[in-house]
Amino acid sequence: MLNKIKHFLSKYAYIYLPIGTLLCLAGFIGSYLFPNEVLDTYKVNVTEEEGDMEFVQYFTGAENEIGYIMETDGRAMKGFQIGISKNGQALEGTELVYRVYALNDENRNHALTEGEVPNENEELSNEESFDNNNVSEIDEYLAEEVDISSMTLLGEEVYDLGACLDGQYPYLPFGNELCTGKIYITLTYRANGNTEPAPGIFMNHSEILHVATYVDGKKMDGNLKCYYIYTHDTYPFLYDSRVMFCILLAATACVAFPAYSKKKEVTKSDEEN
Amino acid sequence: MKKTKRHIIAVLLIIVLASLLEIVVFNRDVINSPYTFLRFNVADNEDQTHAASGYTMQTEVVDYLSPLTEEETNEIKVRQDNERILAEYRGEEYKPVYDENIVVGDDGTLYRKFKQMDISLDLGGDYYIKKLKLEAGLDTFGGFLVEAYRDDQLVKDNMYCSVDPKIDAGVMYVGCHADHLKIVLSSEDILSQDDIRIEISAQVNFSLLRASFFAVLLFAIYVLFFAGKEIWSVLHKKPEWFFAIFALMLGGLIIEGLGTNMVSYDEYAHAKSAYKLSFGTTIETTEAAMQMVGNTLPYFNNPEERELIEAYEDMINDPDYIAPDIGHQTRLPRTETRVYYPMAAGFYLGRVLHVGFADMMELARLGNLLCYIFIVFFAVKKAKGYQMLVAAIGLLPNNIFVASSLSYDMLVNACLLLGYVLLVNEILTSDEKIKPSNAFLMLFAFMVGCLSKPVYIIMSLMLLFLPKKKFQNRISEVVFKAALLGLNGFMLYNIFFPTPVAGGDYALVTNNAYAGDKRNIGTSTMGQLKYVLENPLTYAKILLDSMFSMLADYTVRKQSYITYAYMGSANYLINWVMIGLGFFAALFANVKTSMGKVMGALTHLMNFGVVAIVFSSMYISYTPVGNPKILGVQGRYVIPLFLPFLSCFLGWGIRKYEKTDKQGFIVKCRQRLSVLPAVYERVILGVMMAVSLWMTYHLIILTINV
Repeated sequence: MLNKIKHFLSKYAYIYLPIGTLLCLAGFIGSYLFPNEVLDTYKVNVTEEEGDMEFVQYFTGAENEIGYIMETDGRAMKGFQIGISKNGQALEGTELVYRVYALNDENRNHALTEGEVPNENEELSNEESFDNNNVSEIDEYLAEEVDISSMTLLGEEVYDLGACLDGQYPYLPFGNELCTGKIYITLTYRANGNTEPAPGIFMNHSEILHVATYVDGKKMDGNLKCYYIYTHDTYPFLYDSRVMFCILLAATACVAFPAYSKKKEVTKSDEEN
Repeated sequence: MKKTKRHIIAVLLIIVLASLLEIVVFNRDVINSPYTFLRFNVADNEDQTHAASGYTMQTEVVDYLSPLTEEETNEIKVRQDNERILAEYRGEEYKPVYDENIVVGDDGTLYRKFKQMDISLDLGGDYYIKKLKLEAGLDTFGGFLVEAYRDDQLVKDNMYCSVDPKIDAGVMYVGCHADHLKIVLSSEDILSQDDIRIEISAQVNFSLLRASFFAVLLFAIYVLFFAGKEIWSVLHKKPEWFFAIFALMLGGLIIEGLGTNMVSYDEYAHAKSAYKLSFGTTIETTEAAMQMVGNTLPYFNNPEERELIEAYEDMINDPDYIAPDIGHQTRLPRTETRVYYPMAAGFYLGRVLHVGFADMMELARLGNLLCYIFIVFFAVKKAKGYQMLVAAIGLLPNNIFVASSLSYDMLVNACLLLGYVLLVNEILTSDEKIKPSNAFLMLFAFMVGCLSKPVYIIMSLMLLFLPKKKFQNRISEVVFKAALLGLNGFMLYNIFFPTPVAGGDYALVTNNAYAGDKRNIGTSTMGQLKYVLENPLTYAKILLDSMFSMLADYTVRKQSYITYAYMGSANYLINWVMIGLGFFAALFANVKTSMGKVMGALTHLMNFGVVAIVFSSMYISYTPVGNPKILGVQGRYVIPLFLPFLSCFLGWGIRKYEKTDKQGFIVKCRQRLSVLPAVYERVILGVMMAVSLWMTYHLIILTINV
């Protein structure tokens, strides 16, 4: 039986090896052309430092707004995850409204840009630090108060709070592909006639570099606990298809193709005749 | 029929003899013992069976500072350096933090604060003590030192045993008569006399592992010396089966002997990848698995401790006792991760069968071993005339040990061996066309072997030197060689620009500034590359110095090569025994022709190139920038090059004999040797088995299984 399989494989190698090679080549090219987009999650301030305790910043009304200034890492941010306390309620129909604004030059902290000279040591450390850490320019936007009127609205989305569990960190996707650079994210809630107590957002007292959290436009001590969600392209079959292409091509090169062999035999017999 | 009966009787005799040997060698001192065990300082509310009477115990507690070992200090420094890098990455200020029990001396030396309890135990009579067990409810690691006295005379001293807080006990082998014990217990915890329980024992303990060891030893002796011509004829014709049987026996002893002790190279890191891979997209990490991947599972030093540890592991592996951690992963594992499938299969099987945690780890190791045996079996079978050379390399203790551990090096060693066997076959049969199936299998084996260590793919470049007559025509030769270069290029390209296939690693694979082995301080891939490019001559000197220094270490500077990783090594002289055996196996192999001078020279050049690249990769990724020595290169990294090197000696003298009809010494010996029944095969198998069994006995049986 084994010999029959071996014989079959060897007899038809001239068919399946070239086909396999071409399939791998197609996979190789296809992997480049159609990459797989995956979510890429980064924890930010999720774990408390020693001595710190998390707390919930509850919304006090529909106008109450929690804001967050940050800078993306050069890629467009696809969304973020925040911890939601539903205060033990179901909150069916209640919506969390989140908006993303782009910060403009007018939002710079003028006290720093006009009056102060950046510390020399700080500049040096920024130069020495690695590229993706060099986001200190955002610090100039972390003023004590923010003025939303001078910002550009990039998008507004809503999330049904009835869909998540109490204490969960649901994924809040940003609809706009342009959520990149220095951005301000605001969170408000819409009760939609629901009389249950208002929800809240998990925070802690940690001071995180290059970000700031605001309540009703005023900077607060402590920050949101959240995850930043980006995406990046992966090429799941690229490695396999390119190495298998080479291996199958090499094996194909060793095949005695019947057409070629017959031609050779005919030429030989002609020469003999 | 008569011969089969003889073999069956021999096997039965081996089993009986092995059991007798286990009792005589390891239990003869306690066969006539008047007691089994006695417990001291038993509280009134505890089980009073075997409680000792007529004894006195006195204790005294003192404080002291103990300097940390170089290893412990380095571990703290590496951790702090990695924390500093992480803080820098996050843009935070870094301040070194020490454990509360660590004191920094004026000169920067680190000390650990300890409490020392001196225990004086008058046993109230003369006892033969085989084992001493000390139970103490500790929160941190501790240890005790024992001195045994008889008639006020010191009988045995400097007996040390650690106490792991996870099992709250330590057991040590004493093996002498005593009537008084002085015990010094060191710990960071505050203890009183009531927290201590001491137990002495002298009971017969039949170990299946030790009996199996004797059975393997006797079986090997029988096969090599008494099995008869029929068996030896099979050995001569099909040595791959003997390789498989002996490798399974040796590996089985190692797996069973090691239990959950992780003593191979970076075993916990490999365990982590294999364990994760054994799940689909949702990973359930139990507390036991978490301790396994964090390398914090307790280690045992004897069967009694092993029993306590395995019970502890089963307890924390129970999801009802501690809820497992739930994680997620992509359905498509990274390329480098696929090498863990044989181990992952073992973990998966263990979970499905609901076996204990230790058994699950052993199944994972067994998966690795079986995969190794399967691939090398095929390599031995495929070797044309030099099967025993391949079998000898396959049975090398280093290889068997790695194959019996949680490590991807098994696949590197096995697949490169198979790939190179097929390559040597092509070189030795220069008149035959290369078959598509051989070309596929050879390159596939090289590719799989290089998944985790891509630099070895350079070995396959020897195929570039195959003559034109090996191919169908000129075009097929050009296509084959271009595809080979493409394969090499793609695999090497992946070292510098790996293809990300899963989320979360984007920042790492796209940021060369962070590349560098974090087990060492001061590493930076980009920084080191810059240094090498700026100082090419200095680097050439560093490279050659390091390469020849390692060669000298293993040949003249008395450094052992044959090792069982962190369990220890064989004597340095075994290096030379192995070198001699390698040459013997190559020179007297039953091949029809030799490789030729040109191919031989090219092979040595390839070997040199691969070694230089291995050293260079360690310099770039593992060695601090500008260091005058290359760090981290281990002897095992050249194991895949043994066959290429020894293949140059295959068929020595044959070409000269064919041309001049003059038989050289080697050719004459080869012909005489072939007359005797499988003596060539028996010598090689005998030496490999003797070395492996000796190492297993000394490094695994005597060290942690007595």
